[in-house]
Amino acid sequence: MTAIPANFPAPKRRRHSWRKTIEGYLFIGPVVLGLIIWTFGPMIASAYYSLTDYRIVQPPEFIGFGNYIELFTTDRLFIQSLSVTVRYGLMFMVLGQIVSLLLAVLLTQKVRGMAIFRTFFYMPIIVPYVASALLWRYLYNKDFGPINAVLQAIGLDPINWLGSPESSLFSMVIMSVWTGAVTTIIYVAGLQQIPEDLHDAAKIDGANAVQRFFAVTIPMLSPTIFFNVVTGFIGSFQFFVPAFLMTDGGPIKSTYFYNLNIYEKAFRWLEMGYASAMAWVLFIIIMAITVVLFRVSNRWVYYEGSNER
Amino acid sequence: MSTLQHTPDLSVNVRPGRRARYRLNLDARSIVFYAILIAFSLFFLFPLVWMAGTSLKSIEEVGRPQLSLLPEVPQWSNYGNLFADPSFYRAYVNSIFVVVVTLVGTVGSISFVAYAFARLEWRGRNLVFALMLGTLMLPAQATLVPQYVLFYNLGWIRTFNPITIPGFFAGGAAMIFLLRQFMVGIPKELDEAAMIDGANPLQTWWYIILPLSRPAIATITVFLFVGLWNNLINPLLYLQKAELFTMPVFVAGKFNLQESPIPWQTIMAASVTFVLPVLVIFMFTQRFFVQGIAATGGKEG
Repeated sequence: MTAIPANFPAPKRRRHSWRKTIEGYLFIGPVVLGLIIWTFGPMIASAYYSLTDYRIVQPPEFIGFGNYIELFTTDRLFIQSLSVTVRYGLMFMVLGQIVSLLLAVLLTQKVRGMAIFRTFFYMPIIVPYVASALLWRYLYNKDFGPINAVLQAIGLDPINWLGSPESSLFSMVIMSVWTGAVTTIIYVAGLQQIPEDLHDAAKIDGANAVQRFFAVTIPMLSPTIFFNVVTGFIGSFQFFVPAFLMTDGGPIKSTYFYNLNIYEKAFRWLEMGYASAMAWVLFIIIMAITVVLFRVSNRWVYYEGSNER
Repeated sequence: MSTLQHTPDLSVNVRPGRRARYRLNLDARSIVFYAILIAFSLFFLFPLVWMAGTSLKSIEEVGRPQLSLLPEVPQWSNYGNLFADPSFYRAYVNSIFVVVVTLVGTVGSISFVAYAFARLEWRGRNLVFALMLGTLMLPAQATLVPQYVLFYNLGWIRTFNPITIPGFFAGGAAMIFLLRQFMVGIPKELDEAAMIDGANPLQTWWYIILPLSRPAIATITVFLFVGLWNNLINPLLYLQKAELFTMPVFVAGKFNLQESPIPWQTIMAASVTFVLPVLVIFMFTQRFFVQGIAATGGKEG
């Protein structure tokens, strides 16, 4: 042991040598450059544009908080698009989480043929939004769509799914549930991590399947549920293609999503400054929702996990 | 002692029970169970079957109320007309070109960067990693406008550059995260042995880490492929010229409200040719795909 020469460098000091640091930065060069060029640079630029009147062909003209003032005082479409997005987000959150969790519980049962059912349930995820939006536009057609044909076949009145402002937003929620098996996959992964002995122990204590679901599955799954709720709600602020292709925001702006509003401001009317202000407001809303959800989750996850039942 | 007594107990009790549940016994409960599964399968499959069926119907058939999944007489000419359309070919070739170039750039640079995060020791690593993951919180549309301005000033509008080039800068924090997590799990002794043999980090990355990361690289490749193939918004914003259109823009363009009656059979035939590649890839790589979603929460970027 003492044969080690006295000048042998201590490994601790060598770990963070400059040579290695330079090597490290050369390797991550692409992502650092990418973040600066495509993300942080544009973010800073957008913060500046949001304070200007900027119609891309002329240089931006500084107007202070004018865009923000207009947003919150006179722009009724801003309020409408925000309200559409939030209502969609809430509906999708409730319906989407319930259906996905139910499907995930079904898919984790140990019975024959489950692999094929999983393939069926997961398949719509990979269908491009362009294709699914047009497909559902046809399925929902008031006059010759198959959904109304089914309703009439069983003696119900046809519904003007996308054509009436009362049902258009909910029709989009249903379509999103169809494409939303990502949530199901995450629930399946979460369910598979729950140790089986917990269920066995509850069974020995005489709990039936429903009791086990609420006393074991739900508390053990609460971090997964929380994750899905947060990403699902944030995801509803990204909703764009179906609104763009199925309804173009109508009828009477009942599906005028926030993103569609930004898109039209920026690329139909070329109001880049105003659209940047809208993007920043959205960014702050998403941050605020995330913080609130995390705050609330502490109590909620603790409550479910505390075995009070 | 107590643990020794406990272990055999578990194996005796749990194993037979598990095996018994795999058996197909058609009592009332499992009939109800399968009925529920089949009902949901209908909900998920019906639209896709309807898409395929419609693509073979005639225009008269498409425009009247009906519930038939199959066409009265299969109209193969719907596909014939599509294949005879030069703009269809162009869109298909453009899509393949854009997806392949972007995939090569993205997967290559991501594997490079993930290696540095997983295996190299350098000052500031945790900070850069945290900053990168922080960008997952950013809504895509926050950067949409300034990026458009940037590409406009670079003169990249009406070129493929805004779609292909950002990929080469390791686009996609979630994918870097996924690959980095996988690489962390590769035994450290392998790089150390390579270093002792005189390999530099670049050689270690290429000869040791990349070949061992194949499953994770397959996952991110499948994942990125689907995201790129399906993407509408970037091609819609930047291509702006019919010769450059990719399949999402082409299919969306097939739908035109001015046209009456709307040629649903053509739209659905175009959709089928568009969906089929991803569907086939999904069938063969479902495992990778599902792992990717479970590991990243379904984030594509």
